[in-house]
Amino acid sequence: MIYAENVFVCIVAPLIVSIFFTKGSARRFCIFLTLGIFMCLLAAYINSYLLVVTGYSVKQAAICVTPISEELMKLLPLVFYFLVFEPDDDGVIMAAVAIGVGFATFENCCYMLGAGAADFTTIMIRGFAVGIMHTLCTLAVALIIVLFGKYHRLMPVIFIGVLAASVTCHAIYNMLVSVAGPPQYIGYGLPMATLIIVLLYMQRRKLRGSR
Amino acid sequence: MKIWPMEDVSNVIQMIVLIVTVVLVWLSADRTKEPTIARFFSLGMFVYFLGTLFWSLYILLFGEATAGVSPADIGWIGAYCFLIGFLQITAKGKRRPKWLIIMPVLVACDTAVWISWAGGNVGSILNDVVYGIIMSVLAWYIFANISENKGHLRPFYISAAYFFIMEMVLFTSWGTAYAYFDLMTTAGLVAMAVTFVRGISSEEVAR
Repeated sequence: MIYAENVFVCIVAPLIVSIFFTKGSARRFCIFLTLGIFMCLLAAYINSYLLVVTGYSVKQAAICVTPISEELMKLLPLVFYFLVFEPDDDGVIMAAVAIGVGFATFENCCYMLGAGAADFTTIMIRGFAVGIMHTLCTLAVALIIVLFGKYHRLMPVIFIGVLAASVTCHAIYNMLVSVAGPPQYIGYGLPMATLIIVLLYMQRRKLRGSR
Repeated sequence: MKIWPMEDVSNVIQMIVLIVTVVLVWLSADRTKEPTIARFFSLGMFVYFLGTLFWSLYILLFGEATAGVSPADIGWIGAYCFLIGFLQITAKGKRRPKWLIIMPVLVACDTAVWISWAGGNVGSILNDVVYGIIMSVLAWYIFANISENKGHLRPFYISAAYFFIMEMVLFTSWGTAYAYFDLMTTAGLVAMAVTFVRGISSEEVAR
């Protein structure tokens, strides 16, 4: 059994202390990192509840149910920040990255405590894959919100649309990883490949912008 | 749920068509009068692609379709939301004919049929209800645009109506017929993409 609340306190305590000694964007990053970790803890409670209610097996729940609750929990603080504080584009992206990183960090910690941290290769592959996947899913949500943020009338459908996109991406990753053999390798490689594509695209846009 | 071989073929064709469409619409966005709107549409198509990808991979890996709520359904519903968003923009400030009320009623009748097939599965019923609500809104905006907008985007609204009808028939079919209707839905997606790019290249969208 993992005492997730205890792990949560251990990780969050230094971050909360850091909030008092930082300013500006560094402080906001720490706050959203903490929020991401907190959302992961909440998502774990919801997942446990849904596992009982739906009667799915752990594997089936990881594919069909977990992505919905996890992506929804990551979206909520981001949407709240976007709607209430009306930040600039960089602020939305920074918040999304921090939430995604916080979420992935806590999930990795709980995975390590549950499955053990002896196998360095597995830990490294999983650590990077989950880290990139969660961060990219939340980042994609933020980019879509930034891109179409000026169409205020569309906000409800945009929020449902981006949630759907991130849930489906997350579910595809979870599904591939759950099947041993080539699908698992593809699953672990998918976030890395997506990251490379995103970085290349951003680099290209930067080059075009500077010309 | 039993899978028919033809469904694999239609899924693969749909995925290829969708990814080509997404790339082409995204690349041609800068040549249109509304690049942001074109990218919005392309994103909707991409979400639809993700839904089909999940559905196909699940069948490939587990040899059966998902029962109850599936991330594929969430992907498709998300894609309809993007489509509704665009149709909402173009229908803004336009008159709504009274006969439009028939559309949600028809969708509700079809939804009742889906629910009767769910066999008491709460997940499936929930799925059907959400689909019913989204399809009602989609039908409302498609037919509102068809009746009120006469510009260059009219062919797009007609192809969207074809796509909507095919989706409704698809959800109410099974077996080999399901696979054939899936192919016809793919044709609707292509028609929508082509008419959308042509329409938005020659007409600015009123906001």
